[in-house]
Amino acid sequence: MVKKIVITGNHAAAYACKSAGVEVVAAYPITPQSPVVEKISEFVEAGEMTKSNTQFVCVESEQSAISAVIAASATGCRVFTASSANGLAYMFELLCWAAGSRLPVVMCIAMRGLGAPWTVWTDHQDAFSVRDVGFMQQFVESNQEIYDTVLMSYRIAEDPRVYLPAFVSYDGYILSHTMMPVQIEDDDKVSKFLPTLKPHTDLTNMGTRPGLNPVTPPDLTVRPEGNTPGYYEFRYSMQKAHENAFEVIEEAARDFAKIFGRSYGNGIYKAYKADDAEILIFAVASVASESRGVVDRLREEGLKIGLISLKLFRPFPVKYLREAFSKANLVVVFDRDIGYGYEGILAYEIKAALYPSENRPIIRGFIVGLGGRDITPEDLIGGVKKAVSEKDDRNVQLATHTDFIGLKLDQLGFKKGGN
Amino acid sequence: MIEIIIYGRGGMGAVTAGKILAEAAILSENYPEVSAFPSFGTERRGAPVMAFCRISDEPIWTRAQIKQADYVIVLDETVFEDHVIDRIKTGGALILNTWQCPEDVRKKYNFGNRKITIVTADLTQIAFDLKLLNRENQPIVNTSVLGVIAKSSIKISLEDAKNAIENKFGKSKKTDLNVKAAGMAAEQALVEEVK
Repeated sequence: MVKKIVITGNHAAAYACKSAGVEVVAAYPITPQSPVVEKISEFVEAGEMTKSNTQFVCVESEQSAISAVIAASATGCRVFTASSANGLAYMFELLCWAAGSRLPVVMCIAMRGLGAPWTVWTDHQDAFSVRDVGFMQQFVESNQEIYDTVLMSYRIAEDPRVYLPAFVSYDGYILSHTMMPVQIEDDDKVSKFLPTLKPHTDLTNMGTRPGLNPVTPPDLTVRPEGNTPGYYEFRYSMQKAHENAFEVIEEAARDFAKIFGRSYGNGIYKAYKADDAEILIFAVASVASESRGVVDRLREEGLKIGLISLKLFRPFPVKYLREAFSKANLVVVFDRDIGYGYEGILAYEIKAALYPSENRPIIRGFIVGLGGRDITPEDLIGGVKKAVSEKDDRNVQLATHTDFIGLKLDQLGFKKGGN
Repeated sequence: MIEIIIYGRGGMGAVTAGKILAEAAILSENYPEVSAFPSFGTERRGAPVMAFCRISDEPIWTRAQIKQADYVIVLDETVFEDHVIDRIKTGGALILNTWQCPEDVRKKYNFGNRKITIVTADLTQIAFDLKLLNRENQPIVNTSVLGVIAKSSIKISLEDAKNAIENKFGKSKKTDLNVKAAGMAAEQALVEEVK
């Protein structure tokens, strides 16, 4: 039996690359992601990744890192990169390129607040800021889940029904630098779950591959050898690939559980004590894991409460969430992020998703823990209790301000605003 | 779940002590679930630092810093002040690297009437005696402290501690010295329990 080892989240990601037999890695270090890159380069240097002849490409920036893996992926290699916050922002243009070219790039985000003001600590703003580039997006709660989700991501991204790049996002420091037990699987077992990549890019046929021809006109190009799609059709197929991803993700989750004996709900969301719950917390990543203890404590007080921890944010699993929330009458959303000028991103996404539901619950959103402000169970319990007591207050339902938990404005001599 | 805070100064290896403790907990097979993390500052050499460690027989889901711990370990007495005592749960224990005995520590600091077990060991002296020094000729105390922990009510044996130290640093003469220091610390530790 393979023993568990005690490692950080960053190292769990690096081990996953090794297990997956990644062939080309290019990454530029940034806090708190750096140890991922360092560990992979150690593996390569020590000859521990010779089986896949892994190449570690040193680059001078994040933009070059993602460019290098896009190029390698286009030649049919399994590739990996990782970044955080401002480094991720610097990749933006090429992230769109990876998705538009339908390349199965897998990338980790060690989540960190975006400057300014300068911060190295966690929030989810960086991951959500690349919401619409076309990547699939997953959030995880533990180091084991980082390792497992990277493996699952390769299988999903490389499926011919999908061919989309994927993010695996975990909280900087909170997971990236925290040691936890992680089971590293045997290569043989991994290859049972994750087949060899069958590259789909045909570099000899420039006309039909998005991203390779000089420019794609708005309309079809009519050619004697056959018509080629316009930009619009390419983008339609990207949306279809996202829609196809759900069944592929569920299959991958089922097979993963069968082979390795570990599961994360249906691969789309994880329900905790949700079966009979009238109140459901909705959160991702560190906020979701903190909420588990909160559910236990509030259950002891007699509250019928549970948690829906969202694993898959893109594609957004609307159908699944309508089902998951069908019996709740109150949903409390904790966002470690904010859509500036509106409200928490998860809050407005879930509101839109549940809008056509027959018995749609009251949805109350709170902002928590931006820039690494510690989120305590008491913070979350306070939010739930506030949401419960004000549930039927029409003025609160109609209010358009955003609630922040854990602000310390009074200690700064400010008057508390927004209420 | 047992919660532990380790205080030290940047460069002393408080964070590493937490990691070795987590490893030893896994090896003990009494605590299959662990998490160990620093206080996530941008640490500087010489500045007071904190590291956190949770060990449990059930999955650990909280990621918050530890406000009050079952065990507070202080590697450097110069960072030990009364506010550190507030971080120990009532019924918990303090493990302090000092030349003084627990009774004197209780007199010297403000414990009030709080029920806190005090454990002391002179880890600095042990390190000097064994010439267990780092590159800057500072005494190494973050491994020997595992010996003291093995003597506490945490179910980690001296054997687990030794194995965890060896796993972390690999086999070498220096590692043997660390292991020896942990053994000496276990022998010399003084425990004053409070009824």
